[in-house]
Amino acid sequence: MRRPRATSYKVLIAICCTAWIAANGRLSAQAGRLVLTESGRHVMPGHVLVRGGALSPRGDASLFWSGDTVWIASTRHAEARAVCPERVRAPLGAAFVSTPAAGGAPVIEIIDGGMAGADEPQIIRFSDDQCRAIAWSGPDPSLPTARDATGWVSASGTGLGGPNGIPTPRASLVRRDGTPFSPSGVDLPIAWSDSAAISVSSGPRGIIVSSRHFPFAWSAAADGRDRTVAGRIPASNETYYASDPWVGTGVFTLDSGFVQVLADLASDRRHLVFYDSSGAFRRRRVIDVPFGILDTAPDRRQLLALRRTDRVEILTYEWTWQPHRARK
Amino acid sequence: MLTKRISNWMIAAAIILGVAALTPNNAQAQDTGIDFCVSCGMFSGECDEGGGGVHDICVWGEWGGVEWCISWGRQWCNPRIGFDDVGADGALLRERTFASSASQGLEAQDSPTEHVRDCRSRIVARAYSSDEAEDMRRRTESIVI
Repeated sequence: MRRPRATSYKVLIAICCTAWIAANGRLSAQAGRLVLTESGRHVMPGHVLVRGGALSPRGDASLFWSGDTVWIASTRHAEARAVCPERVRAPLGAAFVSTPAAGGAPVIEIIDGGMAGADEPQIIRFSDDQCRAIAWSGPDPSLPTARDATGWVSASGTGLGGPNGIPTPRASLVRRDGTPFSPSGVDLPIAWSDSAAISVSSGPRGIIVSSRHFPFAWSAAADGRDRTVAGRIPASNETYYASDPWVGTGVFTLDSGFVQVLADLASDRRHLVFYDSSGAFRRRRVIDVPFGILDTAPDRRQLLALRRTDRVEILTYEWTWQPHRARK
Repeated sequence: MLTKRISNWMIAAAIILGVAALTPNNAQAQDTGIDFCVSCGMFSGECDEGGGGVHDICVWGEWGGVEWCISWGRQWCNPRIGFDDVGADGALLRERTFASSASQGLEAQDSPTEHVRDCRSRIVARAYSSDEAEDMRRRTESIVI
């Protein structure tokens, strides 16, 4: 008589747990698949060549930039508008510094390299609907750069370091004033130490440095601490990726795990790669669309992406975790 | 009589010549607008490595009875620096930097040469039909990894 009652309790508990997980969407990445669902879109002319992008802290706006213009796109306006067009010449990076109360103008910083041979690099700060420029001081502004809550962090490749005196390619992260971002450099198993072969992105847990070439290794460095998480494509894939012109376009933080886009330079093929929160490679999805990720906001499960079709589309995705289907 | 007729002709000719002298040389061009800014056509830049093509913008108008012209020109030269880069969508881009010289102001000539990043051409380029584009949008509305 007691067994049916115990069974029904278990079923009830299982139903409640499933419902709670579904309602809160807190299914772990290891247990589920990442589902990106498009939730917003800004359309730009097809000739715009987007280099990067950033989500606002509140998620109600985004920045994206080309080789000569920075735009801001808001959920409240259908069209994106240029930021400080009278000052911006050659943007190398842009970020929201802060977002005031609803209705207020955001504060934006842009690293501008200027016209080569004509202008000095500068930071253009957009605040209170005004654009002010201050001279850039610090590392070469053309180095891969990302901004965290404290300020800009630049990554450069060096051939220094390594065990037993053997030079090991390594990326070092420094702030504008020259302060090291992390006590030691970030080791990347790459065959060279070219800064152009490195991408950087920022996340809530620090800066992620990634190699643009196989094995597309990456490392997440936390401010003031040594390396925390690292990942790479398994060596068994070398024949596939090394024989074709594949390139990694950055690694971005999720609320559980990391996502990376690999692009075939000879076609529209893209691989969306998922790593778990320990940095272990888990799976990838193949799509045949020119597609890239620009930024993520793990706390809101929001992702900023770029799609090029007959025009350039700046996309906002929301993500959820979907349980694995049991295999029969 | 003949003297008076000659005198009338001379007066008429003087009036015509006077009007012609007071009228801008480009009166006919003024009717068509942009050709009035002849300084753009006279604009010249020096290209060390060859090249050509003058990109002109001319603006003219009248302010307080004074006609004015602002011309701006840019002489594009052959690419001086070329390198490859990858866009955020993973497309390979070829970026070329052109040397250029610019002019701004009334009939102004060249300013010192500057480098202007201008042309980026896509190496992997495809033109998608609207059907293809719609299919690409549909395939990436939702992505499961």
